[in-house]
Amino acid sequence: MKIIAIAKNTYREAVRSKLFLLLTVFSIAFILFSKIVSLLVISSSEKIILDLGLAIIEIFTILLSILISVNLFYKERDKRTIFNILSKPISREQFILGKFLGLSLTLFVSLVILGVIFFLYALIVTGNLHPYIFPQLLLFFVEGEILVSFSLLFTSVSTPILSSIFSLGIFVVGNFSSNFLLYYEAKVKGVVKLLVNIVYYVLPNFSILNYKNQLVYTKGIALSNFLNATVYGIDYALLILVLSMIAFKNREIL
Amino acid sequence: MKEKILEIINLRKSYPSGTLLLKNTEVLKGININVYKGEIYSLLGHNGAGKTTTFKIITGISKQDSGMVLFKGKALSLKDKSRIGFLPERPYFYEYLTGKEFLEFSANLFNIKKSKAQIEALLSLVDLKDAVDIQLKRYSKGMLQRIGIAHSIINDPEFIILDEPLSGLDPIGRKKLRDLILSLKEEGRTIIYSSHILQDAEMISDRIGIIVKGRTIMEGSLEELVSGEIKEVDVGFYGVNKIPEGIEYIKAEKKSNVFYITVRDTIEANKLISKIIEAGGYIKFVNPVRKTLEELFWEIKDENNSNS
Repeated sequence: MKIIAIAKNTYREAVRSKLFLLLTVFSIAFILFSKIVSLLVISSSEKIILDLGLAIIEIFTILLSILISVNLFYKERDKRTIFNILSKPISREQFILGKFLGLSLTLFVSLVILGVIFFLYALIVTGNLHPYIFPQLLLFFVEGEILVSFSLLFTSVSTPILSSIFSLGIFVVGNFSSNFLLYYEAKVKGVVKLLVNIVYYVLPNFSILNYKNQLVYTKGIALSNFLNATVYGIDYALLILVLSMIAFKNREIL
Repeated sequence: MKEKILEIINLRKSYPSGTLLLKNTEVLKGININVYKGEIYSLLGHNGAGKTTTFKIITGISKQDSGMVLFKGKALSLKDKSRIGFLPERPYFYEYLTGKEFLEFSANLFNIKKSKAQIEALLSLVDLKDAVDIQLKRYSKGMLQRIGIAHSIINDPEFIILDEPLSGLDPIGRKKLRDLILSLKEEGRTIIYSSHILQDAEMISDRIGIIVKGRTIMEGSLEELVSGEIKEVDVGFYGVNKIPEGIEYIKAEKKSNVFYITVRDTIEANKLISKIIEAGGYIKFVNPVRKTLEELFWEIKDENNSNS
């Protein structure tokens, strides 16, 4: 109940924040704008609308996961509202877990809303149903979970600006880690090769969570790929969440 | 003998400081506090003396470097915190919540489910019944302090910690809050609160602790701390023409054949009284002037400043 109370309050605070409103309004506006872009490009209108829509939702996921997590967690310390919580019979681990669940709920609800809007909009403008976007939206959610965990970890030990930069950095690097491995594995040997492999396995592999570029052609994600990606992403997010609990446990709150 | 609710023994705490956080600043250098059941304990000290850090350690927000915090004779545990209420300094609450939502949230943090009637009763107690559905961002400073008190007793605690509850309030707000603190005491709760407003401490405290630069300098009841300290004696007499010779006085005045003399201590006062009686005069009054808490506080502070 205590964790749920923190989660519920985090969700309430997130959805009432101006940042959330701004991100949601802009995302919906850009989704609707995709039809106009499709008219300007010499390509299949349906492909452009789907590509753009999914790209916008992914950007929304990244920004929401990082900015809202960092902002809310930092504000909690800066405004000292955290004193009201930690002075109660609540451990720091429970506090982090509550925050994580609240942020996850925010992400999930907003992805459902954006997904439904996008699905209906795509149906109206293309005349076709595109149900295969939903598994990808779920993978975006998993991607967001990893970023929320990283944001909580970095905010536990660092300033909000640095935390945002680090979390965004993790996303960028994590998207290229597969290419990094492919490029260097063939070129290096011995210890360096081992190091390249360690870096690859330590960093999150966001590319396995992302099928948005193929979806228009494949019209779906193979179940095994989907399950592998989901299990991998959730495990990774939980591991980082545990690290953020450890980091926050000994953090001095001034 | 009264039960000891809180005992703090030689509490020490330092924070990393400096640009690269390589220095260490010791904020608490030996805090010792004893709070007994059913009393109001005022922790007095100027800004930066270590009051808030002490409270943060008691409530588990921060950890001490050394020393002990005992709640009813045992090291304070996470479970014990369900019997403690806390109002932080300058309470920043979630401003988007209404008074009712905030108290519901606070109750949930204790695993308590409060009914609407219970929440409203609590809001009535702190004179906020009309502000149930108003967002906290529209509350005045006094209203925020009062909802803070309501939040600090949501779990029906036996021990309440209030960090600077009276600061920043107008005289009416302070009076209301003082009365509220006294009513909590009447309900049998033990209260420790910090302040730098000495008059309030004099009005409501049973016992007082004074901390200066991270150290407890004095602890005791108001009477123990100030009544033994006579700073000067006023003596009124008549029946003589002049002030007896050999008397060192601070000030003297004559009105309608009555002399009003202030001497520095009881020894000088006794000397004066003897000489007046010897000269055939009469004593009208002898009034020992005792130190106020404020004078004692400033004296201690000055002493510590000159020692450091």
